[in-house]
Amino acid sequence: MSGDLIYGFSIILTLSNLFYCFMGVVIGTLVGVLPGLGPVAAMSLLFPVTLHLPPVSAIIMLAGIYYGAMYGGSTTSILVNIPGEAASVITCIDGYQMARQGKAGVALGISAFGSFIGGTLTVIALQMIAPPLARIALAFGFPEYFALMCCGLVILTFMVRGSMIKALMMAVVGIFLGSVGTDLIMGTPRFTFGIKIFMDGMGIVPVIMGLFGISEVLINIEEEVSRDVFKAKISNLLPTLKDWGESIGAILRGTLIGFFFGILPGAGTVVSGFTSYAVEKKISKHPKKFGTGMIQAVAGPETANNAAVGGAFIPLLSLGIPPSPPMALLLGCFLSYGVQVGPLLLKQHGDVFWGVVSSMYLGNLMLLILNLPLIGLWVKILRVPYGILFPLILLFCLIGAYSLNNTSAEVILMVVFGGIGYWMKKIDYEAAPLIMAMVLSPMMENSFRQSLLLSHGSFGIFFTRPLACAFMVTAISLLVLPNLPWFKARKWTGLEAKAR
Amino acid sequence: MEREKWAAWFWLGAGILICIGSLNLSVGSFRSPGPGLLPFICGAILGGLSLIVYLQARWSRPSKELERPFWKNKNRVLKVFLTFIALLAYAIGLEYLGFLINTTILIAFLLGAIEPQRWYVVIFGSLLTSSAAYTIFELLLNLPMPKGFLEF
Repeated sequence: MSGDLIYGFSIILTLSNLFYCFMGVVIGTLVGVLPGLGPVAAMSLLFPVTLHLPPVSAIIMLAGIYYGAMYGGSTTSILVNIPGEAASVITCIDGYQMARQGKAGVALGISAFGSFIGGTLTVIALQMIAPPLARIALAFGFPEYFALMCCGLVILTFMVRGSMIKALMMAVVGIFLGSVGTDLIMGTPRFTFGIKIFMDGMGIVPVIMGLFGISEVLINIEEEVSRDVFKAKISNLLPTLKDWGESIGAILRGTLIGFFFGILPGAGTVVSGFTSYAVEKKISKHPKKFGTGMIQAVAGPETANNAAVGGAFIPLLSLGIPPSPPMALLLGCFLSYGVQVGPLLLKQHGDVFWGVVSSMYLGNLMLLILNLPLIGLWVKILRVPYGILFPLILLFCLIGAYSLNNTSAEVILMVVFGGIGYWMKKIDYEAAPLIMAMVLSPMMENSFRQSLLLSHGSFGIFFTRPLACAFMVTAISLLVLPNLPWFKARKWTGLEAKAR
Repeated sequence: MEREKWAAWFWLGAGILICIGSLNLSVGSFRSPGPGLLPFICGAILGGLSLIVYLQARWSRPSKELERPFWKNKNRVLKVFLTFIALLAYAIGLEYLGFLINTTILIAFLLGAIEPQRWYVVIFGSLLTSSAAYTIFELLLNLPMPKGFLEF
């Protein structure tokens, strides 16, 4: 293991890879700071640029954007009371209160240190868990893979905060969209309507940019974003011993919570932050003080959302199954670079696996060193009015979509999905299940059809093999569970009530 | 509740269309699945689930969450619509007008009409943004941008 890690560091410690890692974390922090431009949109935008890079450099940069955004999101939550990134929603509550009491520096400092600790500890866990898990996954056949993907999608729909039925509908739409293009087994064009770019399948990147980037801007235009940036001087960024004493428990618990929820499909950074807040409030001796500027309420969730990023890499790198939309995008990127993620990644592209793991150690360190001195710069960027910022966000998305295949058809596709995403937000249909299902769809269909061919058309194959059966039973249980009356009342309503 | 019902009808229609399209592709059988099998299953499940959503909306008591207004700020709906149309027009005109001209027009429109800025911000902002984007993406990052009928 240590030899592999040294190999990983030999990959990252080259001038070019250090540069890409640095660029990734800086861009990530910037998009985290800016409300209305999430890591998914930023990763999609830079994806075409990375097509000219070696796969390991490209993934190092894109991964840096993701975990960098988690650091950046807290700055906006604490100073503006608007989450820069969805994962930092819960930090607004006590973070902004701390800023109003003159403790903005402490809140920002403990967020950065907590993020660093959570991020680093989960990378250690990632390097320990992913390789053995990948070895286990080598024994998976088509039925196991299909059952695992079904289970993953059902967990995702179970974890979403809105209606599970709507989430299931979006997952089904995603599977359908993923099936558009030439059928892999028979070569028949499906739902392409003669459109050239659909022959190879509908591009995941324009769909993601539309659903997450364009729709978010349209929502912000309607709701008129106004920002009241904290004006007092920010000092005392380094937490005192008393601050550490009060928050170290929250940081360690946040790491565990974030890591666990990061692995689960759909839970990711947002749910881990909420859960960490709820846990801290539950075990606190002064739960009534939550909401008035408690340092634990900032340290825990901020640690948890960073730890969730490390956790999310485990199913992606070892099983080839992305647990969240940014990971789904990374999977799409891996495939574009010709790298097959999953159990064989370590054998076939060990450089990519260990290079990315090592880059996360350095990236987290870079973020800690960079973030605190650069707070002033982020505050200045936050003062740029949204009226000036949104045309730039839109332009980046448009250029990103065009650069994918140098065709305006991809841009049209992105804009259309931007409109669909806007409408979906209005009627409370979540985009995450759609994206995840769309990415998994080709693998899912292949496993499904191959399994049926193996079993001569019998669905029993998914229930007679132990692992496949375990995944299927889990999926079915999760489909049934939310319909039990006692569970309905407890799901997120309970968690959010605790968080409040 | 009305929007829930309309959305359910929309998804039901989409499910039916997917099923019809899949049948034209040959669904095959479970023993020998055809290219239309998975889309057909998707269409059928989508249709079934949308019926459940419709029935839930029909019979459940109205909740505050679902009764909130569809448009949060009615005065700005036109701006959303215009932005969407502008983006669509940009996408369609990109290869005819070229990146530089098309981008200058789009940014000028967004700065001038959607979130109105002073006239000099609109003019210089749009010119500066499009030329900076061209320099970064076309010249520095070597991402070929469309030239348009003027060949630049």
